Order: sequence, then structure tokens, then C-alpha cells
Amino acid sequence: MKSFKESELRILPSGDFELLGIRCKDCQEVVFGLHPLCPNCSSPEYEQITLAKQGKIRNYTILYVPPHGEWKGPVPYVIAEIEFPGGASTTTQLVDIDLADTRLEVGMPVEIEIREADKDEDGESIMIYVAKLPS
Amino acid sequence: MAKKLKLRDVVVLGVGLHPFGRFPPEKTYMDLAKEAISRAIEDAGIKWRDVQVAMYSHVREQASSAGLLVFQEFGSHGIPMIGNIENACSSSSTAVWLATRLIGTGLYDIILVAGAEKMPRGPLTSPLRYSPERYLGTGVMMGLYAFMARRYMREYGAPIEAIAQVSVKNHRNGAINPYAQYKKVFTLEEVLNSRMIADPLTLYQCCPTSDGAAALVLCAADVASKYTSKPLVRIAGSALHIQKYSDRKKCIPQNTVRAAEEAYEQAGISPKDVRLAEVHDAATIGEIVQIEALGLCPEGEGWKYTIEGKTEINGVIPVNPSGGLQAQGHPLGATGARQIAEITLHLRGEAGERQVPGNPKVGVTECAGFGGVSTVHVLVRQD
Repeated sequence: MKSFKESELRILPSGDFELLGIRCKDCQEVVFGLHPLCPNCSSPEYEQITLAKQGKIRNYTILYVPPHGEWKGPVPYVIAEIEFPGGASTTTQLVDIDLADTRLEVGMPVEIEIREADKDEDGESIMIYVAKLPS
Repeated sequence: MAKKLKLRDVVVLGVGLHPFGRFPPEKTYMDLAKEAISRAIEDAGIKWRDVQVAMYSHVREQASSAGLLVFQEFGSHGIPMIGNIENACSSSSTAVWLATRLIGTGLYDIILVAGAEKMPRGPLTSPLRYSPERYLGTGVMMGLYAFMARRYMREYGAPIEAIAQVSVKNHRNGAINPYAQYKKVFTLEEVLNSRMIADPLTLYQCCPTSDGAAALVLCAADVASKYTSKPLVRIAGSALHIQKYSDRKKCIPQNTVRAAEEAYEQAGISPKDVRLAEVHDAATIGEIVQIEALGLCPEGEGWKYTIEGKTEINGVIPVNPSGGLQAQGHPLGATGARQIAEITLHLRGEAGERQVPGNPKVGVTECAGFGGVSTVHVLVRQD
């Protein structure tokens, strides 16, 4: 297993994973993902941190059109802005939802999981992170 | 921050459009661009050889130097030509931003800006071809607009009916614009009941993908009367701002707020002086948040202005009399120049059936783009 985007997702040898972020020592902002400088204040003085694997829905929408011709995912599908404790946020797909039976709301808790997006030339899994409502 | 220099006045000497729409493959982007440029040259009263710099904007064309091929159809007379100035949906308005400064500083007198596009069908997505976004389906433009709509509705209590009314108004305007892609009028029910794209945005609340071209001849004000006897429309304010990380805390686009403040200050006007606007309504919600960011109505009241008819052609502040991106269409590279052409026609009193009444003197354009860009131009007729 390897990460599709190593600046956001680290796959550990055990198969577990970490979500990466930075905490700026100058402006104190906590930002999702690693960046060359703090995206908020451009300071180089930041520490790398790992984020919680639980967050809450800040915003969401249901998309009824496949995003491109090679789409293999479900239609309709849900994308959501996920906010983590400390204020970092990211946008990902909310997976495994029965839309007929679920009323989505802002503030709902979610858990982050990893999924295989693709395989590389050697057959190794390329992983992405997704969000899921707690079971 | 830019230095505050006293710059020469710049006017829009000529405008030219190729109608927006869907054209067969044999009608190439070059055909569209050549027609728009020819019309702008004619409208300006200049000859091609009077052009001192030529700038071209496109986003989706695969060919490199797409613009240079167009310009060389008119002949190359030893002037600088730029084959592409790309800044997402704000590309040709970015070219205008550059051109006003090149003329304003006195380096050149006449600059041609052209934008054209032949767009593939289907949703507009993130530019990354191999990315997690492509597997997650997150980089979809209308998904981002749906986030904006949901947030706006939560923060300001706006019903979707008010947001959808933007589409009703703009399609009504587009129906009387000979350059518009869609000339069909929809009822509010038809807009709300059209196919859901990104909840709560239905198909008729999302702009189409389009073919089309627009061109502008920009000129130093002090030499403009040599070429034309038409009313001169001055680019009194021109600003380009990018979204900051901290802007995400606000629902109303702060890049436009900053660009508008700068452009109004350059022009020496306040939002109260503005008589009409062309803004970036890629989705209906875009128009509402942008008119608030431009200060054309109080924050949180764009939806009320819309349902009260204040943004209609006959309203207190007409918005998108062209039909906007919703009905005129959105060939990305052409849109920014097209908006400036539209305001110019209204300020000259040449906008035909869709003319904003009352002999308007001041208009504003706002063009947003993926990546957080917003350009604002203030246009003032010189009397």
C-alpha cells in the first residue's frame, strides 16, 4: 500500500495510516496537509502534526452527475468538507451512504478511512482517504 | 502592494463579439476569434497595423500558441504578441488588467485583447489529470458552488427559490441578447424542477459549456479621439485579487471585496454610483454573493434584491443584462472581455433591446476564477 498524496496521507508499515497537517508557530493556524510554508501567513516556522481520524461535516452536497468519463464511483455521490479538531479541514467523498435512508446534516461526526483508488504498475495499491458516518 | 502611480487614462475604443453557443467542429476557435477581433478593430475605427501589443486568452484549447496562430492571420507587423494569458475563468479580464497598466504607464497607446474558447461538453473539474480529486469526484466546479449555496442559505436564511430566481432573470435577459447561447425563457418552477446537478443547484442554475469569442481594443484616452467619434468609455478602475487562506472564514468572496475596494478607489467612486453590473454567475449563487462583495447591496441581502426585482434590467441596480454566464454562455477565455464589452455597449447606449435605461454612466464587471482569482473593472463614460 502507498499513499496517493503523501503530503496529506501517510501509510504506515503496519497498514494503518496518518493524516498529516501543520501547526504554524507564528500564526498558530492548524492546516490540513504539508505545505512549503504556512498557507495562512507564509511562515517557515511550523511543526508537522498528525490529525485526528474523526471530524465533523462542515458542508456537503450530493452530486448527480459523474465528474468525468472514466468515473467508476457511485452516482449520485456525496462530497463533504470535513473539519478536524483544531480547525484544519479538507474535502473528500462521504462513502457508503444509503441516501434514501440518511438525513445528512452539518455538524454530523464522521470517521476517516482509507480506500484503494488505483494500482500502480507493480500492482501495489494506491490509497486515498474518505469519510464515513459512524456505524 | 502596487505603488500608487498617476497613470494615463485608458479607454475601451472598440468591442467585438462572436455569438456564444455551440458550433460544429469545422468552425474552429480561430474562426470565432477572427470574427470577434475583426469586429473590435472595425468598432474602434483603427487598422490592424495600429495595434501595438496583442494579447490572447484561452483555457481549454490544447494547441500551444493558440493565440499567435490567430493573430498571424491578420499579419505580424513586428509588435509583441502573447499567445495565452491564462487565469482560469478570469483569463481575458486578467489580460485587460495587464493592458491597462501597459497603456497607463505610457509604454503603448493601443492594445488588443482577445479571448476565445471551444469547450468540451461535461462538468468542469480540477485541472489535475491524475489526482485523488479525480477518484473522489471532489474537484467539480458545481460541487464547489453547491457548497457556497448551502452555506449562504444557512448563514443568511435564503430560500433556494430566491437563488434560482437569478436564472429566471438572466435567461429572460439572454432571450433578448443576439449574442447569447440560450434564448429561452424559464419559469421559476422550470428552473427548480430541472435535473439536479449538485444539490441544491439544478441544471438551469448552472452555466453551460460554450464556444465563443470576445475582443477589445484598449487605447490611451489622449489619442482616442483620432480614431472614433463614439462616446469614450474609460477603464477607471482595474484590480485583481486572490483569495487568502483566511478568507474561508467568510461566505462572501473577500477577493472580490478587496478588488472592488481598490477599483472604486482608483475610479474615485463608491458602489452607490454604479448603475449596472456584469458579474460571474457560473452558478446562480455566484451572482448573489458577488453583488454583495461588490457592495451593490448590503451583505446577506443579495437574495432579497433578486426576488424584489432590483437586479432586473429595469431595477435599481441591473445585474447581468446580457443574460450573464447563465444564458449568454461561458467560453472561459472569452468571458472577462465579453463582460467589459457588454458594459461598454450599455454606457454608449448601443445595447439594443436589453439596454439598461436611464443613460447609465458607470458600470462594473466582476470575473471570478478557479484558484481564487477575482478581477474587478469599473467603467465610466467620459462626457
